[in-house]
Amino acid sequence: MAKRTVEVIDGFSQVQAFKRAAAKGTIGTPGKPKPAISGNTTNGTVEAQASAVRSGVRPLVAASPLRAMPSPVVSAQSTSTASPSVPLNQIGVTIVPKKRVVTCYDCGYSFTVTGKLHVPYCPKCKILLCVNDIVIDGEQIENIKTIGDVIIKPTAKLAPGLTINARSVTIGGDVSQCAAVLASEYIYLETDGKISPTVLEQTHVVIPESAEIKATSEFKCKRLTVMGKIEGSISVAECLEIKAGGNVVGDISAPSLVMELGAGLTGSCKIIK
Amino acid sequence: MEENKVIKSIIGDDIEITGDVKCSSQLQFDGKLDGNLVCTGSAVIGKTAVVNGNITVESVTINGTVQGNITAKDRIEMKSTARVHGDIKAKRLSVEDGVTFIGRSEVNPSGVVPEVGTPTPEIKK
Repeated sequence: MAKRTVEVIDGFSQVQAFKRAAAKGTIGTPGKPKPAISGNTTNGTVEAQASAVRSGVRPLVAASPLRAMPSPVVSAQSTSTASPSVPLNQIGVTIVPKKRVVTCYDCGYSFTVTGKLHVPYCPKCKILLCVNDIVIDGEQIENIKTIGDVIIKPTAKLAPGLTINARSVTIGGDVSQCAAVLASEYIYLETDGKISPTVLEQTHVVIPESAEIKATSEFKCKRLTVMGKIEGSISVAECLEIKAGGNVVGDISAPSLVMELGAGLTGSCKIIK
Repeated sequence: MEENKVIKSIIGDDIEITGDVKCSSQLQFDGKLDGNLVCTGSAVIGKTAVVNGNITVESVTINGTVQGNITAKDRIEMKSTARVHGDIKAKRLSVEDGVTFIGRSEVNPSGVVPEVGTPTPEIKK
């Protein structure tokens, strides 16, 4: 039999391979396991794996040919007929394609991409979207637009008036000269991050657990999730969320506050819709 | 858990009290109170409750309206219907979405109670 090369292996391919192997007689039929002959159990397993390899499919991890049975009903039958040493019949691995929500940075249209993220076109404005993850640790003079993630290191030097638009942005450097930093998901503000008061107004900012932020002027954003520590005057347009372990010290103003037990809040609060 | 403790005292929504209320066990308060509330156990301020005065408790769950300061030795839970105008001081605090809260908060994440002693009646402002 000609050797085939299969890169992606899913549960269906394995089931088909074991059916073919069963038809040749090298493996027990699904639901009808071969009677275990003393001393031949190990050989049967090796044969099944070898058969699967010949048919182009990687053998299952477990050293048993009966793990590739698809139906739980069949497995129940076979369990009753098989010897106690034979494991249950089931599919070992099933690959589910990963889904990802992509927001076009030009028109703001959101759509879902299933599977591996190749270079996608926006279905609405038909532009080619950049999917790269970008790490800035040096000089940056051009605007950044991507549907990937952007990480700004403390050594980054961003030109004045720069615009960053990405899926998520981790600010570990100075972005106070930027015109705007926009993220379709979150902006992670690290301890070394420096921002100007208006640069994050339209975004959802997350203060990670390790971060300690000191705001010298009023900190404004659309939504704020605090898992670390933030100190200063805070004004949130939508919702301020303080997770357990998070700590807010300063005056806050927001239409909505959600706080978990174990979080800290010290300061004057104005929570009113 | 404290939530599972049987509430011994219930003050209904048609009761109005002028003066201080002291309670040494679990209390559910649904009425109207013009005065301070002191409870050494846990208290539940119901949706229909209106408290114009300070609350000093072990732990409290607030569903109604409170115009005054709240001090809890253990925790304060503010449910979505709560309206609080006053300062709060507790070891732990949880707040649900929809709460109205205007005042000052003193809650440390380490769980240290900021100067909360044994509940004693306070003079209403």
